[in-house]
Amino acid sequence: MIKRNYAFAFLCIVFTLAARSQPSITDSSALIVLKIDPQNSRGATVSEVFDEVRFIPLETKKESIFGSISKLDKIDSNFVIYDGETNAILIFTGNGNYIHKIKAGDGASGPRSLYNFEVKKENNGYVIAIKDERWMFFYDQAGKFLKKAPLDWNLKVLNREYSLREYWLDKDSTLYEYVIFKNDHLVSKYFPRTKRKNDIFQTANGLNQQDLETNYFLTRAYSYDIYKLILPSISLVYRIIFPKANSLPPDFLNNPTYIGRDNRTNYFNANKEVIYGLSNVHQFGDNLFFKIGIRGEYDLTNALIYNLKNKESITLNHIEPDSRSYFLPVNDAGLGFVFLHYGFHAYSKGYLYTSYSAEVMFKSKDDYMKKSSSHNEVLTKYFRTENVRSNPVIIQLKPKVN
Amino acid sequence: MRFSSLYLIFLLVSTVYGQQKKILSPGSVKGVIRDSVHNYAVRSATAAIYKADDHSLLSYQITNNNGEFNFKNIPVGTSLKVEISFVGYSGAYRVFTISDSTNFIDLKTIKLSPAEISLKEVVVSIPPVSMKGDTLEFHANAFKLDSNAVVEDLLRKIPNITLWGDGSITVNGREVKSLMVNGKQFFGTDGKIATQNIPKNAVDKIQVYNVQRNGSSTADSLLELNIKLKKNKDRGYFGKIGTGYGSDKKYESDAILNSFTSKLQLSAAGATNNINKSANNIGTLLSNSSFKGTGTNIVYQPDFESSDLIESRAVGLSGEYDFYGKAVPSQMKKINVDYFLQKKDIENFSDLTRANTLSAYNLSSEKNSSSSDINRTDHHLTSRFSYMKGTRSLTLTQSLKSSRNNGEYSNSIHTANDQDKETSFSTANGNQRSTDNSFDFSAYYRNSLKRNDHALFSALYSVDVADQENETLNISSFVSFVDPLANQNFNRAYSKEAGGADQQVVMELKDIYNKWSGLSFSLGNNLLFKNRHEDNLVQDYINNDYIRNTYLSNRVKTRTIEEKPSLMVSKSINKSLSNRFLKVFSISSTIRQIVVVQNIASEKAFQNFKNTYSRFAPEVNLEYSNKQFGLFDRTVYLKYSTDMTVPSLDQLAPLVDSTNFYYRRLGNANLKESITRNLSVRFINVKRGVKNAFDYNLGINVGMIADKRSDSTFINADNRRTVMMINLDGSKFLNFNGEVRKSFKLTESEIQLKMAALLNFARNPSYLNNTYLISEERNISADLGINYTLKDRLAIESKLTYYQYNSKQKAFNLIYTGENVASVFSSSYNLTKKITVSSNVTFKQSRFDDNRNINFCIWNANAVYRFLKGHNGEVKFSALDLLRQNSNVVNYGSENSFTFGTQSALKQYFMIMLSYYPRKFGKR
Repeated sequence: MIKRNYAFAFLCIVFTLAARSQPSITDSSALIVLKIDPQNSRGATVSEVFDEVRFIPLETKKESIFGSISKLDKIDSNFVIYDGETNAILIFTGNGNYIHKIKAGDGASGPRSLYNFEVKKENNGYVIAIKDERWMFFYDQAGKFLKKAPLDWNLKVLNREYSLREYWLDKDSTLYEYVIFKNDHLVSKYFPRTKRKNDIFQTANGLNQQDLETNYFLTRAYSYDIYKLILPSISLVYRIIFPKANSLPPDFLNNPTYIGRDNRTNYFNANKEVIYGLSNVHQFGDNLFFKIGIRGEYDLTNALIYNLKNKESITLNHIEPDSRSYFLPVNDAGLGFVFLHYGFHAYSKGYLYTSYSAEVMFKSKDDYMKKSSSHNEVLTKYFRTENVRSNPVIIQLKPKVN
Repeated sequence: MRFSSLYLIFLLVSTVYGQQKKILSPGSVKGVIRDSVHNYAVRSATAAIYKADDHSLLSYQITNNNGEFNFKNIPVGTSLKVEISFVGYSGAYRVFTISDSTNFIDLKTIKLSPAEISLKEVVVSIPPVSMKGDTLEFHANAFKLDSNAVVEDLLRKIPNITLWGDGSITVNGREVKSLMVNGKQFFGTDGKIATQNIPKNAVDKIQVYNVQRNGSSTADSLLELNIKLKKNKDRGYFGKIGTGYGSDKKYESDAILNSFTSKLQLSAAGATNNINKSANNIGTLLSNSSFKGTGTNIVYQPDFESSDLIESRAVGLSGEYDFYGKAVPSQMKKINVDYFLQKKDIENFSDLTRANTLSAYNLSSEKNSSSSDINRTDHHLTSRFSYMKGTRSLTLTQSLKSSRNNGEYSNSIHTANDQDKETSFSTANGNQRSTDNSFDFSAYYRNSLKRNDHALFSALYSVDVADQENETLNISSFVSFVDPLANQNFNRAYSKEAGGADQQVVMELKDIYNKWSGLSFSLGNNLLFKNRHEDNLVQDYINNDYIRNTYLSNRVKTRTIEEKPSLMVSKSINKSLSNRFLKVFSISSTIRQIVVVQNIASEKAFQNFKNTYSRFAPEVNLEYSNKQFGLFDRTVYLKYSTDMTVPSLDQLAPLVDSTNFYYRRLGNANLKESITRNLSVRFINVKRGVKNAFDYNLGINVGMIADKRSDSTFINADNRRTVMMINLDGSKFLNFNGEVRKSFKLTESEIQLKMAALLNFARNPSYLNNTYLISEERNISADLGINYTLKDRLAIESKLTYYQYNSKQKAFNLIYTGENVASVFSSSYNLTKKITVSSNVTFKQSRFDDNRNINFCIWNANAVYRFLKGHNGEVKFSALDLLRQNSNVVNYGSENSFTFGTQSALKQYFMIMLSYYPRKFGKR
């Protein structure tokens, strides 16, 4: 699964010449306009939103201890985790048992430093591709080194035929936000940018993999549009209108008072309630999940579910624990920083994944012990044997489809 | 020590009292707050419980992540009201009574509706507390207090804020690091000036927030408390005017007036007294004249321990001008100007006996009676300009000092041998007049080398110019009962004119990080130029005329250059895990060369020196800190350093003045520099996240001095000492110090325990009458302190101080020992809102040489009555040294002598004082 590692990634781009060749046409025939006021989203209980909740404590032992999850992916039945603090990739089983750890500087052939990882499909199945400054190092799921290859930062391989590139500089020096290749041949180019010097784009988690290999959602910086990538073309499917107080000025991309690194930074520092983009887009039946990029106060609702049928939005920051989650919170909004910062870590086979610290888990221990009539074996053992210094816990959630 | 048992009993009683209080309130109440429109639990809403009849606040809570509140220790069987409030919502309330059969009530769900869509306005009182982002805000209007209450009284009323006996403030168990008023310091760094003067009614709210974050864990950040004043209350004045008169012609008067606006803070003060209260700056006067409101305080007392009797008069002006007038993040531009004038009349008399070791069986004694009367006038003008913008800062300071002394003195010395037979007798009396002027200026600049980089550049330039004039007349005589030929008489006049200029340049390039090696480098240079000159004219009265003493009259010019270039290489390794720990190990190694060039030019040929001292002085620092979030912070420091001290002209080749009958210092032109090598270890432990703090720190310092300049002393039969310095190896020292702090918060009171211990061991070689001596010295001092406060009614402070010295001369198999013990018991009690009584008792015991003891007790008491509507008037009756026992005991030991005796001391007096506190906050 491909996803931006940091919600606040900064890109400085030097644009050169205006476009000469024609960009591809975005199909907007199926566009649905949604009006959403995040502050008026309602709360809901866990059972209203999720069919299944599973807590997967990650095994804590000397070799497996790590800080927090910066990136998580599920490959087959295993979890692959990148922890920026210990600068390591850790592999756990689907039940949270520790398998292996890959650290920067491990072995002569391994990466010197770790920046991120991706899951790639190879002939024999999925492999872990770890990025350092210049190379990608391939490992199997047991942590065995396979090979290394030069790193191409902006390349996202979608399947055997297609790949997507972000910020592609065309032969005529036009810069496109996205271009699509089929077997190394450029087949379509989208969203050309006009000539700018030293501008900054706060990327809002560009690519969201919804359905493995064929179906993706795309979002763009400083835009509230959601695109669907149905290979080999991109179509505009949703346009969200937010209340004026939360919206960017219409000329935000072109007005010189906003252009440039300092101007854009100053604007968002002065207008903390303005949404700079969307990310983390997933769709389950009529339920559209997404995260709004906002710098404001922590207690703002920044993760929403919009029901396309009843036109109602639910805030994921206020999901109320109930018996389905054993009265434990399903994300750490209000208690920690993971959900507010990253949103869901991953999507895989109908499940969404998030995580939180043992500190958050133990803050809710009393609720589990006193309110929950049924006790879960894994959780009971967890509270008995672990403590606030243990590894984080993964929460696997199956959203309702209605 | 008998007092310790007394207050222990008291503490036990009060603990029981606290326990009983708990039993009276066994009820608990819970509920959950929900947003009725959006259907979710409201986090961080305020739930406050009041008594329904008088609306007095019992407790408050901020709702948890599930919107729940849960109160314990709430009274049962009485009508109560819980009020719910949250920003952006209309409030809600419930009236309820907890049944005494169940002791519990569940208020279930209480619904709040967003303010803009609520149909009817629910009237709810201002919430006592609310959360605004990460800031906890306490609203002053929600707390009902006496109209004369000050901020301190307000803080006492807030259930989760604790004001400790030592003046520190904690919020939910965490200590407040700094206290601000409207985001700025209020008349300096002493937070009490704000909390004891600003009326509660001028306060809008008290804000508490974190000033430092540790990664993603907020559990360990430090707290800042800001007093936000109401609109239009950000200006005003306050102060005190008081005068008192007492028995024995004792008097005291002081006046201080402070005014402030958002940009300007100005203080003017004047004080005069003859009761040993001498403030050396305006800040001391300011700290000791606060309005205080209705709280209890251990008041500041005249100095009964001073060896002088002081009559002092002082006036001062102090001002601060802030160009911004409000707190601007990472910016500052302000000017501070202070002027202080002080006149003092200092009287001193002492009777001291000093025992000197002569040999294994031989002790001599010296009885010294002296008295002096000095008039001193000091002017001090300082100013400072501080500028900061981002990483750039500039500080300019200047200080102008002028001091005039005019005094008379006399002393007499009787010496005796070990059979107590008098060996000599001397007298000296005379007068002295001196003027000292000095001017200091310094400029300090620092800036980051690059934006967002740790690397810093800093530069300091300072210049100090000084001149001094001194006229002394000394009439002295010496009679020896051993050697009549040694008898001498002098009438000697000294006239000295000295001056000089020092200049210092310090430049530093700090923390330049090299990515390739992972090391940081710092380059520094410290250059000091010292230029001094001294003209001495000494005349002796011979045959009705003052004749120039050609030996003692002299001109000396000293020029010293000190150069210290250094290179520091450091590396730091961090290891952290979110919400769990942060471990930092850092090591730094400094290569430093110390070069001292000393050039002394004198009229006397034997006083001319051109010396160059150079020494490699490396330093190594290791630091390991382990912060386990929510549990503890532990830090260990280890330091090895080398230092060099060079001999002065007084040690190399002094001019020997024969009027110092009992002490002749001879020079030694061959003296070398001394090298101190020092290794120190320090361990600090701070407990985190617990209600009752428990902190301790321990330190050990060991070292040795090579070529230490030690005394070689000859004592002759009439007890006169001739001393010359020589370089001796083998000097060693070991110091240990430790401190433990523990606090207890009881239901209605607080206890703080503090214990500190200091142990010094030193081994110093010397020569006495050609015998090589090693004196082994051991000093122990220990302090035990307890502070107890019960609401705003009672404050008790108790302290036990123990000091012991032990000096052993191995060669003579002699040991000197002595002990000083002081027990202090202070208390202050508010009888009513208008009457406060306080008392303090100090019991002192001095014991030396096994069984000679001096014990005495100082008991002071006072009663204060406040009158007028705003409590602005005050009558204070004080009775000091009620038992009339004060005597200033001197008791100390050194290498081969010990000294014991008494000095002048302030004695019993009674005083009545009348004061008025003018105060106005706000425009109206």
